[in-house]
Amino acid sequence: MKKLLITISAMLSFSLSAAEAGLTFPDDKLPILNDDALIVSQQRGMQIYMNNCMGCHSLEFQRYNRAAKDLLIPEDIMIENLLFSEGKVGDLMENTMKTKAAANWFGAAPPDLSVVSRARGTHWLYNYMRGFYVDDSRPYGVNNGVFKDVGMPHVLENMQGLQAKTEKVKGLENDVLYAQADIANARKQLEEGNNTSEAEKMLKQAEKTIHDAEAAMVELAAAGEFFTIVKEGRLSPQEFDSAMADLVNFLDYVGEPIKLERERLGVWVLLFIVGFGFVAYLLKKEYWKDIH
Amino acid sequence: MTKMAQLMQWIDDRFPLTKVWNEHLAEYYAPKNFNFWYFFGSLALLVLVNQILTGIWLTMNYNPSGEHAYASVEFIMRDVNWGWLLRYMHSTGASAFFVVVYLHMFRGLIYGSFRKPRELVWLFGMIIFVLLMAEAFMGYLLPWGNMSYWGAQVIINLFSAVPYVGDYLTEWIRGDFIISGATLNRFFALHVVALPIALLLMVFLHIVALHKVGSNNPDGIEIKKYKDENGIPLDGIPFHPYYTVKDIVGVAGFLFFFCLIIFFAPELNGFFLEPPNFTPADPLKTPAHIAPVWYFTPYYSILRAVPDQQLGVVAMAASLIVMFFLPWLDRSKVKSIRYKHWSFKVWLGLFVIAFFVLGYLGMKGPTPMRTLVAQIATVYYFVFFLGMPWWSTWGDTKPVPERVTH
Amino acid sequence: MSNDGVDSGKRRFLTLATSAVGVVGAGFVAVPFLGSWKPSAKAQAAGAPVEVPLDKLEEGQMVKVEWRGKPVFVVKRSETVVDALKNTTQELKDPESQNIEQQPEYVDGVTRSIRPDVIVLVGICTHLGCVPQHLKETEVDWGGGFFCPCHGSRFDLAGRVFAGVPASKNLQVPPYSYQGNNKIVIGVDEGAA
Repeated sequence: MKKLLITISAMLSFSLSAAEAGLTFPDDKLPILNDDALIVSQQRGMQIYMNNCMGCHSLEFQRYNRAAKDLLIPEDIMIENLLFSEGKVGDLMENTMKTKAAANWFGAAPPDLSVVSRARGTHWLYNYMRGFYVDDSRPYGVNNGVFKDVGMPHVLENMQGLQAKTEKVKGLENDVLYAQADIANARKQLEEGNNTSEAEKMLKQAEKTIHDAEAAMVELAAAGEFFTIVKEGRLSPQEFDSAMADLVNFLDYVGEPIKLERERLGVWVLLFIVGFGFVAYLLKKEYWKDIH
Repeated sequence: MTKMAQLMQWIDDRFPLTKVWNEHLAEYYAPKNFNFWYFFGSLALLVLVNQILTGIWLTMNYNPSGEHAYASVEFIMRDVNWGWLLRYMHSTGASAFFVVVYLHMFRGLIYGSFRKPRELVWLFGMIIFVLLMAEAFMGYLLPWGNMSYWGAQVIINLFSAVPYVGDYLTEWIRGDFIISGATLNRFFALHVVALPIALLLMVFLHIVALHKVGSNNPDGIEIKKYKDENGIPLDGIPFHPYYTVKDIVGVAGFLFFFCLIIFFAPELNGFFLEPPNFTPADPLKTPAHIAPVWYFTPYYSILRAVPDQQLGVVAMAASLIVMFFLPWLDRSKVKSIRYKHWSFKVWLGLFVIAFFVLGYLGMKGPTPMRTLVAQIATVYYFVFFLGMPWWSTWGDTKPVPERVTH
Repeated sequence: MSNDGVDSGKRRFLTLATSAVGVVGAGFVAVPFLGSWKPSAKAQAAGAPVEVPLDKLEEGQMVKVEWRGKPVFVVKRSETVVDALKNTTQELKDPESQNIEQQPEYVDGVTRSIRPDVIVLVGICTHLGCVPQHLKETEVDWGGGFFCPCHGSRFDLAGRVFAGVPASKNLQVPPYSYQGNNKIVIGVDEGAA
C-alpha cells in the first residue's frame, strides 16, 4: 500500500513531463525582455528573419503592415528595407518557394513559421537555433542538438561559425551508449532467467553510469563547455546568442500578434468584473436580509 | 390601468407571459439553503449562451474545408477585428463548460439530487452531458490542426471495435478512407446545427422537469412537505429576486476566472489549446504524443487501461452508461452527504481521487506502472457505481431534520 | 421571510446600480461582436489605394479600375466639354453639388474634379446600384455622360444627375489625389499623403 502511494504521488508530480522529453543540449533559458527592449529586439529579429529565413520559410498568416504597426516600424522604412518582393505593404509575408521542389532538396518542405512559436515554444526555438553542430555523417555536415537529424542546413553559419561537441562530451556520450547496450543485455538475461544477480548488478551499474554522465553533461552545458567553436563566424558567441534571442522574440510576436494588447485589455476587463461583482454583492446582501 | 399594464394584459390574453414568468422565476419557490454548489446550473446556462453566440460569430469567418480550415482559423485570429477574442471565448468556453458541468454533476452526487422524484432531471442531464461530449469532440476537429486530426482519428477508430462491421462503420463515419475534408464538413454541420439544437431541447426538458418537481437542497429533504396557508413552502423563497441576485454574484465570480484565462493564458499551458494543434493537419505525421483535451482524459484512461481493444471500448462506453443508472443504484435511506453514514465520504473521496488519477494518466504516455494504476482506478470507478446498491445501505444514517438548516 | 424594515430606497438604488453596470458590461461584450463585422485586414489590404497613370489617357477616353471591389471611372475631358459643363443647358437636380456626401470637399462643385480635365467617379448608379455606361459627347445628343441601363438614369460628364430620371443624387466622387502630374491615387485624400 505504501509503495502504491509513493508511486501515485510520483506520477502526480508534474515535473515528470520535462524528464520525459529526455535531455537535449543546448538547454538555455531565453532572456526575458519587456516593453521597449522587447520591441527593439523584435525589430532586430525581423531583420534577421527577412535576411536569412524568409527565402525558405514564409510567414503566410502575417501581414507586413501589421508587423510595421505592432513593432513600431514606419511603413516606408518597412517597404524599403524589409519588403523584398514586388508585394504591397498590406500583403501576407509569403515567399515564392515551390513546396514540392523544396521537399526534394531538404527531404521535407521548409514549414511556414507563422505559429511555430506556439507549436514548439520559445525555449525550444531558442535552443534549436543555437543547436547546430558539426556531424560529418549528415548530408549538410551538421546535426542539431535539439532536433536530431533535422533536414535543415546550418543557414546561420556565417553568423555563428561552426561549433562541435567537446571531447569531454563525446566521451560521456560514448559512456552512455555502452551503458545502454549493457542495460539491453542485462534485461535480456533477466528475462531469460540466467545469471540473475550478475545481470541485476550490471543493470544498476549501467543506470548509474547514465545518470552520472547526464549530470556531467548538464554541468558542462552550464559552464559553456558542451560545444566549442571550430570555425569562427561573423559574430561572437554572445552576440550570436543575443541575435537568436531577437529572432525568437520576433517569432513569438508573429505567433500571436495580439498578445501584448490582449494582456493590456485583460487588466481593464478584470477590474470591471471586480467592480460589477462588488455592486452585485451589495445588491444580493440587501435582498437576502429578508431571508431568516 | 397604466399603459404598461395594458400592454401586459394584451400580451397575456394571447401568450402566457406572466404565467411563465411566475411559474419559473417570480413564484418558483427554491429552498432557501442553497450553497456554493448551486451556482453551477445557472453558470452552465451562461456558458451555453457564450458558446452559441461566439460560435455563430466564428462561423461567419470559418471555412470548413480541408484546404482552408486551418488558415481560416488563423485568419480569424489575426485579420478579423476582435476575431482573436471571439475564438478564445469559444475555446476557453469549451473547457469552462466541462468544468461547470462536472461540478454541477458532483453537486448532484453529494446531495442525492438524482433521487426520486428527480430521476428524469438526472437522465435529461446525462443526455446533455453525452451530447456535450459529442459536441466538444466534433468542435475539436474544426481547427484542423494536427492534434485535431489525430485525436479524431483515434476516437473514430474506436468504432472499428464493433464486431463484423467495424471497418465499414469507421469508413462511413469518415466518408473517406482517411479523415478528410468530407469528415470535416459533416462534423461542422453536426457541430454548428444538429447538436446545438439537440442540446437546447434537452436543456429545456431538463429545466421543465426540474421545475415540475422542484429543486433539491443540501439537506436532501423536500421543502414541499411544510407549506403555509397559501400553499407556499415554508422553506422556499421565490427564485426571482433572491436567487437571480445571488446568481449574478456567481456570474461575476465565474467571469473573473474565465476572463483571467482568456486574456492571460488562453492556451492554459496546453490544457485548453494543445501545442501540436498549431501545426496543420498532416495525415502522414502523428504528433509524438497524442492526448485528448483534459475533459476526455478520464474516459480515455479507462479505454487504455483494458488490454483488449474491443473490451476497452466497451469499458469506456460503460463508464458513461453506468452513470445513467445512478438514481436506481443509490439505496441509502437519505439523500444528502450530510446525513449519510461516514463510509459514504470514504467511497466518494476515493472516487474523486480515482477520477483525477484517471484524468491525469490520460494526458500522459503509458508506462507499465501507469497502466497498472489506471487499471486499479478503473476497477474502483466501476466498483463505486456497481457496488453502490450494496455499500450505500451500510451503517446508520444520521437523523434528517424536518426543515432545512439555514 | 419578512418585509420588516426593508430599506426600499437602498434596494432600488442597488438594483439600478447593478443594472447600470450590467448594461455597460453588456455594451462592452457587444464590442467584439459588432466590431468583427468591420472589414478585415484582408479586405482592407484588397481595398488598398489604386494608382492610375494618366499619360496614356486620350481626351474623351475612359479607363475603368477596381477600387474596394467597386468600378471607378476615370475620364479625360476636353476643354469644350468642360466649358459645356460650366454653362450647361440641361436641367440638373444638383448642378452645384450641394449634397456634400457625394464628393470630397476638395473637388470643384461644378466640374466635380480636382483638375478640370480629369473626372473620377464611382461607377455605381445612385438609384439602385447598377453600373452605368459611358457615352461620349459625340455619341448622343444630350451632351454625353453616363447612362444607367437598369432604369434609365442619366448623368452628365461631371456625374451630375439629370432632372426627370429615377436617380436623385450625383454620382459619387471617391477620395483621390494627384501624385505628380500624370498619376492619380484613388483612395488617398488630397493633402493626406
